[in-house]
Amino acid sequence: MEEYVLDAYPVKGGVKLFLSNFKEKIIRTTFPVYAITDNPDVVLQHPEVKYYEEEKWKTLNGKEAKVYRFEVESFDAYYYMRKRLNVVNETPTVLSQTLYRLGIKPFRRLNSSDDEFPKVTIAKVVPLDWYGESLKGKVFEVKINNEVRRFYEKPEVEADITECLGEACNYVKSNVKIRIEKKRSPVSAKGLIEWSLISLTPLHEIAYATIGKVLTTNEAWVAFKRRIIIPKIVPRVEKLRRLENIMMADKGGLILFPQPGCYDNVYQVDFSSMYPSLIVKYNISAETVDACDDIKTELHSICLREKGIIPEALEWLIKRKSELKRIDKERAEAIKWILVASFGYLGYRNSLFGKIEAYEMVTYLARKTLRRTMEIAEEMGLKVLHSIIDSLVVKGDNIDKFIERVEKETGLRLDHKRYNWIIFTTTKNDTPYPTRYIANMNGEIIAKGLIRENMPNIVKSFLKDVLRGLSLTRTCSDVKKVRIRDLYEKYRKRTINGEPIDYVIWIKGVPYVRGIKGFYDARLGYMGRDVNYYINYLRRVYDDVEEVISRC
Amino acid sequence: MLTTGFPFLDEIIKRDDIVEFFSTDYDLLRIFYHRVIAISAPVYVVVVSERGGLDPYLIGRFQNVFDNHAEVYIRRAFKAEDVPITIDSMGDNDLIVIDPYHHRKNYTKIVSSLRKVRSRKFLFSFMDREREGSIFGSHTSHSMIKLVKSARGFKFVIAKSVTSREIEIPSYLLDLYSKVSDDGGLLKYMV
Repeated sequence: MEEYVLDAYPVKGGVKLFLSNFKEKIIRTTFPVYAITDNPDVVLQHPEVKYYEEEKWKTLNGKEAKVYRFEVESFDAYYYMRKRLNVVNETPTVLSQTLYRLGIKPFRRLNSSDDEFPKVTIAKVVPLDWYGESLKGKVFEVKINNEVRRFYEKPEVEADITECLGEACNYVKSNVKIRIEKKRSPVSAKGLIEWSLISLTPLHEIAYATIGKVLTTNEAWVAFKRRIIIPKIVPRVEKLRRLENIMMADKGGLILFPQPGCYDNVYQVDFSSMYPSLIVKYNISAETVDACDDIKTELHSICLREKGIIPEALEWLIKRKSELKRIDKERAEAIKWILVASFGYLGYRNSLFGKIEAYEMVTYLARKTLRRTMEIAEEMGLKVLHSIIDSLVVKGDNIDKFIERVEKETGLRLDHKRYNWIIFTTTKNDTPYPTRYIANMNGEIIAKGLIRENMPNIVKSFLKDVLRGLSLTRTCSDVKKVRIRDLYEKYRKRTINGEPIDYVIWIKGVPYVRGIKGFYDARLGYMGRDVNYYINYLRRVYDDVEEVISRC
Repeated sequence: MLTTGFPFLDEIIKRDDIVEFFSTDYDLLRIFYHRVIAISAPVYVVVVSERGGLDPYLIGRFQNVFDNHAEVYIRRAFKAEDVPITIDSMGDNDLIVIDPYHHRKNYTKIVSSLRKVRSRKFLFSFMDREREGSIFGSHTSHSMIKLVKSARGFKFVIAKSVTSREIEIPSYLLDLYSKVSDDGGLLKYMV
């Protein structure tokens, strides 16, 4: 059986493939470099440029343009050219384009067109210190294909792909190593494999890239297949606006502030991938917004004559995400991140295929859709308790009919969950807190905005225990009976005599402890704690939770 | 017509086509250019920034103060490469450019675009233009005025002018938010 292609690197005169089972292979080939130049023959003087061909491509504006494809023997020649020529089509990367025309796809078998997820061993090795994950440590946590083990000496790990942190990378035998400290994306190794699969890009080129690169690569493949020139930078001029146009357009999603309190038997209704679905439904892309008047709105118009690059790139990702949701949550999560970024990237200044007007159209249509959904809910006798951007919490009957009607009217897919109860809280100023709620879904607690990353470990642990207690309640009146005073007293004692790890606070990936003289870096060693700080912190959180429960 | 609403200052810069105001005090310059936009309307504005930079509601409030409800036309340039073409696209109208050298690159192209526009231009830069930004831009500007916050107010420092010496014009902070009388006081003997 053929091995899977795990990664690929350019070498002089070809591509070196790293395959599963620790195999390697070199394939002889040249690399395509596209450039716009008046004098292609001069480029041929470089000894590693083999030949060139003239091709007809289109610009992003739809005009025909002449582009030369130079076949080069090594990346040195490519780097030499990009300094001196107007090199275009660099996204997808030259290496990805080379593999594509060779018929080699990352994480697929060589010479095979099967579509299954690769059967490769994926490992994660992390050293642990007293405060948690660390670059150095005496204990190592090793996860191989979902099986977790702890080693109290240097581990010996063999895997096809390994995610490793700090010195752990030295004890791993693997063809492809991903250094966690260099990663800029929030997905795991499995998620990165999924990204590599869908963007047809070798793993090392996206392992340390941002989500934007994966998204742009996907969009660029659509443009590339349509033979549209992809420049390095796309300068854009915004439409001339009046002051009131800016006031109307420069807005985010719609939020209906909740009435604080506890509510029994409610439904949370979410639009599934709302923003990407709107982009696809209304064909929103830089080249379609304000191109013709097929759809006219107060802000801009949209052209439906040709499918936009962004809608085409997102359509299959939305389908893939909903299919993967049933098969593999981790891979679905990786796609979800791309879809989440797809909307923000529309308005990002360096986006190749987006523009600010397209971004504004999405938020405008999202506000309109949510407002209409709220109207439908009220027409059908449902009470809208809260709504935020792409989701709403309603109370009442006929939820199935409501969803059916909204799906029919908006053309978007909805998911729904039934909660036994939901609590909406207030801020310190006694105003509703739209991004914080606690809900119970048949014993499973869903708490948003309650436990923050930058809280001390002991406070996080206290809140988790509070939520465990709340998970046993069935109604709002049960919630009201919950007493957390004893739990608080227990944690108060633990604050005085706790373990050093209890006092650790993670802020932007750095562990801190609050000492007598202020915060210090926990990586320098444990140097005591300021007990009063932690007691006051715990007290504040306790008061906050007590207040929430008493309002039920 | 471009005007600052400070008569003594307008007198100094009245014959200059390109006037650059700069300050490292973000709040001071921000309030000042919102005032200038409101008072100069109808006017064309280019905002160079990744995000923010212009508060339409603040301009609206200044328009109420000065009772000038004429149109303000805006274009935003989000990246350095957008700046020259956005300035070019504004035609030969009186132009206000906010933070033209924000990205600290493409200076030559930006200054070239500014020089191409035939009308008057007011530039506002959030940087110490005596130390950074485009030198070509400094030569191009007919006047350069520094805004400095002082103990009880702020002052305009005329750093470059064809008609005036290097002088400091103190002003009350409250003057920023209201109409200023055209009695120049002792300044009329200095300028």
